[in-house]
Order: sequence, then C-alpha cells, then structure tokens
Amino acid sequence: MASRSQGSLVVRRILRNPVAVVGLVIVLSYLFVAAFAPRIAPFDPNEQDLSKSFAPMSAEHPFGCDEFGRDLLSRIIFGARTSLIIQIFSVCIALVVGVFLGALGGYFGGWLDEGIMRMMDILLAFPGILLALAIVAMLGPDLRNLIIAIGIYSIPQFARITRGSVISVKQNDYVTAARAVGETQASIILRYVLPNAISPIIIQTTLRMATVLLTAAGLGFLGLGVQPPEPEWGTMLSNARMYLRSAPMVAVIPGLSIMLVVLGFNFFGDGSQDALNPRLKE
Amino acid sequence: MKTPLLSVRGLTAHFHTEAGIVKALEDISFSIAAGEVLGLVGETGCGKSVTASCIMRLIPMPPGRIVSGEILFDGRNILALPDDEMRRMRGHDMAMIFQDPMSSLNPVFTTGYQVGEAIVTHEPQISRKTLLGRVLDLFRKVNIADPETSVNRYPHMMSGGMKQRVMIAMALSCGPKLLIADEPTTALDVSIQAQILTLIRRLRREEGSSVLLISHDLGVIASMADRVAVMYAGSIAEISRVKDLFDAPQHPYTKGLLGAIPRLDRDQGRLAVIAGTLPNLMDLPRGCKFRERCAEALPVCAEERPALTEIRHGHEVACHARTRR
Repeated sequence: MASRSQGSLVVRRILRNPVAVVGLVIVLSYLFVAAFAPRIAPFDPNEQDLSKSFAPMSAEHPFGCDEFGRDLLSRIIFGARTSLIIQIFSVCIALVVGVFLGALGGYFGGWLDEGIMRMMDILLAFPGILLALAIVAMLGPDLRNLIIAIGIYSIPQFARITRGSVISVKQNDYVTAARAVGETQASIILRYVLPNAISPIIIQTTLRMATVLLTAAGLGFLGLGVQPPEPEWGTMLSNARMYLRSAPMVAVIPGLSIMLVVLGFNFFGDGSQDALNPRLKE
Repeated sequence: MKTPLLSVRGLTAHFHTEAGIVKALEDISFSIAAGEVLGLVGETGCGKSVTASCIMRLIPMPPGRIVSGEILFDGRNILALPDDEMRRMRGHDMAMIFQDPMSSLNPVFTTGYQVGEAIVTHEPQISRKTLLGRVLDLFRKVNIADPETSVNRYPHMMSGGMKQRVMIAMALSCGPKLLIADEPTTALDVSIQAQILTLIRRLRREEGSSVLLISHDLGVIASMADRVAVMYAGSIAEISRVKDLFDAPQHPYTKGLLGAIPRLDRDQGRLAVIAGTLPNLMDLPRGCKFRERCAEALPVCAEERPALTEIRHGHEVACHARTRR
C-alpha cells in the first residue's frame, strides 16, 4: 500500500491552488531579498547624495531617489530585512507564549483556563495598535521594544487559537488511551495533544506575519517604530508623505511593498488553510 | 479463599450535569481473582464503561464524582492513591483496550513508536536496542503481519483489526496483572472479531493476567468469560459462573436478555423483547429499578431496592422475587 505522508500531500495541495502559489512566490522572493540584502542592493541604503534629491526613475536608480538622494531600491531591499526581523521575532514571542498559555488553559480547563482567557480578553479589549503604541511609548521607540510590543499584542490570538484546538483534540480517544498507559501530563500535552492541534496554529502564524508587518509599518509611520535613518517601510512612508505632491513615488513604493508582502502572506496563509484542512481528504 | 486481585466494594459514582445528577453507578460490588476473566454485560448506558473508567481512575472529575465505595487492587485502595502513584500503575499494573481502535492511536506517530513509548513511560532507562526488540516481540505476539515494516507504519496506514492488535500490544507491553477490555470487538467486523477474541484468549492463557471483559454481546461473553456480571441501570443485577447464568438465569432481566438473543439454529418467530424502557438515571424510582418492566414484581419491589444476595454457591442475584420466598 503506497500511502503518501501527510506533509507531501499538503505541499501538493498548496501547489495546486494558484492563489497560494502566487502567495508562496511573493513570500519566497521577500525572504530571499531580505536574506541577501547586502548583495542585491546596488547602493548603501543610508548613503546620501543631495545632488540626486528626488531623482526620477532611471536605469541607475530604478525606483528613483528620496529627499536626501538615497537610492530608493536599496532602501526598500534593506527595509525588507528590517521588516522580516520584526516579523520573525515578534511572531516567535507571541507563538511561544501564546501556545504555552493556550495549551495550559485548554488542557487543564477550570480556574486556570478561566484566569488565562480573561487575561487574554483584557489584552484584546485594547484596540490592537493602541496596545502596541502604549507599550512602545512606555519602553521607548527602538527595534527591540517594537518587537516586544508587537509580540505581546499578538499573544491573545495564538492563545485563543491554541486553546480551541487543544480542547477539541483532547477529547480524542487516543488521549484517553495515552492516560491509560500511564503517560505523564506533560508528555500527553507535548506528544499527543499539541502535534494534533498544530494546523490552525501554523495557519495563524502565516496570517499573523502579515498583520505584524502592517502593525510595524503603522507604528513606524507614527514615528514609534524603527528610527531614521534605518530603512523601514512604515518610517519611509511617513517621511515621504511631506513630499506627496511633488514626488509621489517616494511614498507609493514603500506603500506598494507593504501591500505586496502582506498580500503574499495572506494568500499563502489562506492557501495552506485549505491544504491543511483534514476534511478535504482526497 | 485467597484475596482477589481486584475487589470493588459499594462503588457509587455520580455525574453532575446542568440537567441534574446522573447516578451512573450505585453500590457496585464484584471481584476478580488472579487469572480470571470476568464478563460485564448490559445495555448501552448501564454503566459498564464507567465502571472500567473508575477502576483506571480515568473518570473526568468534575463532572464525575465517586461518592462512596472502594476499589482494592492487590489489597490497596486505589481510589485513595495520589495521582502520580496512580499514573504509574496505569499501563504497568492495569491496562485497558478501548472500543474504537480507529481513534485510539495517535495519528502523528508510528505505531511502533507508540508501543515503545508505553514501555519507556514505565522503564525510562531502557536502551533503544532492547526497546525495539521488545516492541517487535509484542507485535509478533499479537500476530501483526511483518512486524519489521509495521513498526514504522502510521495508524492511518493500518486496518481496524491491525490497529486493535497494536492497542493490545500496547496494553500488554508491561505485563499488566489486570487487563480491561472495553468492548474490544464492537467496532470490528465479524471475522476480525473472532481473530481478536482468539488472540485475547491465547494471551490470557500465556500471560496469566486477569481480564475484565466488557461487552453487550452475550455470545462474546459466553465464549470468553469464567464468570459474568449483568448490569442494569447502574447496578449489578446478577453475578454467577458463565454456565450457571446461561443454564439457569435468575434475575428477570437476565432472562429477558437471554430470550432476546436471535438464534440461527432454530426458527423462533418474532424475537422476544423486554417491555418498557430504561429508567432515567437522573430520576430513579425508589424500589427496584427493573420493577416497571418486570413480570414477577412483588409489592416489596416498589418500596425497597433489592441487594445482591448469594442464592447458591457463587451465584448472586439482586431480586426480591428470588430471595424472599
């Protein structure tokens, strides 16, 4: 009996969905650009040349230059790197803490669950960006604090998704069977419950990458994110808005970059959601 | 008589639900000697599985609550054991085979890994090599075809009968003194049922474990058990040796059950049925739970719940019509 593994089945389902493939291509190119930024970028992103201030698009500067004559393409490329760092670290914080809290609450239930979920409700009661804003304002605006702020603000989503998934998985017979052979609680959670509850968490992680990027850009736009001259898309957009009438491309290009990458993650997230759905077995 | 391996005394368990208190078990008492197979029969919802879960202490609490009684295993009251000690007994001293092998294995690990895991839980210092050997031996013991390949298979790559064999291998992994089989063949088709039952019978002979065999299939019980306990609405109606129960059933409910078995070897016309329905476990009558469906009911049956009484050697019945003559 030739049976394919679950993993290769998922990959094939993703590849059959054109929207997911578009998302995958965007995400992969984004990752590539971010990883090899110093090799790809034609110029130093922070090198100023005031004689080239607002230079139009040309062969030398495909996206033109900004107000200080810095090459926009190079700044977009290095900006991708900054964004990726923010995304990875903040989603990691949210993932680890959120999954831990959600699994604990979902598995043990009772007052522990009640306590954890009410805490998450409190976090959710703040309008998203306001919470991140308050945390950055408290800690001071720099890259590390931005990551911490966005991480904290993403915890409730992961906790809720994990909790829901864990509650449905723990009712399976194999969890009772695991208890019947004397497995410890920790082993049951780590080996029986979490691996079977992982699909929605993976999807949430991809989709969250998009939201986090938007939030980081939003905070950057408000001046609470990465500080100039570090290239970051939100911050670049914010600085360029003063010249929107005379040099619209300086604002449009970072905006388009944000949009493209967010779309890419969303497409890919939605596509993997369909592919990971166990009800769609072939 | 030597002390039995397992002795359940006056076990009463309730479930607290939004709608009220479900009296799932009421004053259950029975015992299993070492090496003995006790069959537990009854309709769906009569408390067979709850009894098994109480013995393994797998009842979710809340909503479940063991109101009174004790379960003595090897002379120790396991209801009073600390959680961690109880955990170490599960799988090691007592193991359980579940009804539905399709859903009782973890889909993300290979079957061999899972059986190995059950061993490692109780023997953490075991070496990888010995472990693999033990798992292969177990797979061979339960007649899994091609054990070397099967240990690397995931549950979804196996048939129901094979999965139930894996479950049995897992249950046997630490040589438990008591094996609880909760309807081990209900989810399997008839030919596989026979194979699994033969397997359990053989293993019981070889390993010398006691077995608590739960079933609603009297045919399975007749061919497997030494003694039988018949349950009705959370109480035990009758306990006796298998032969006595089938030859001379005492409780009117047991008679009804035996009369309701369809037989291929004679033409019996319409199947006999037991009139009426099960009482609501949330609102039990004062007297005998079976009174409303019973043809032999006496006035006392409406007043007093009959207690399990020995009417002959090794034959106990809870029925006023049998004990007050």
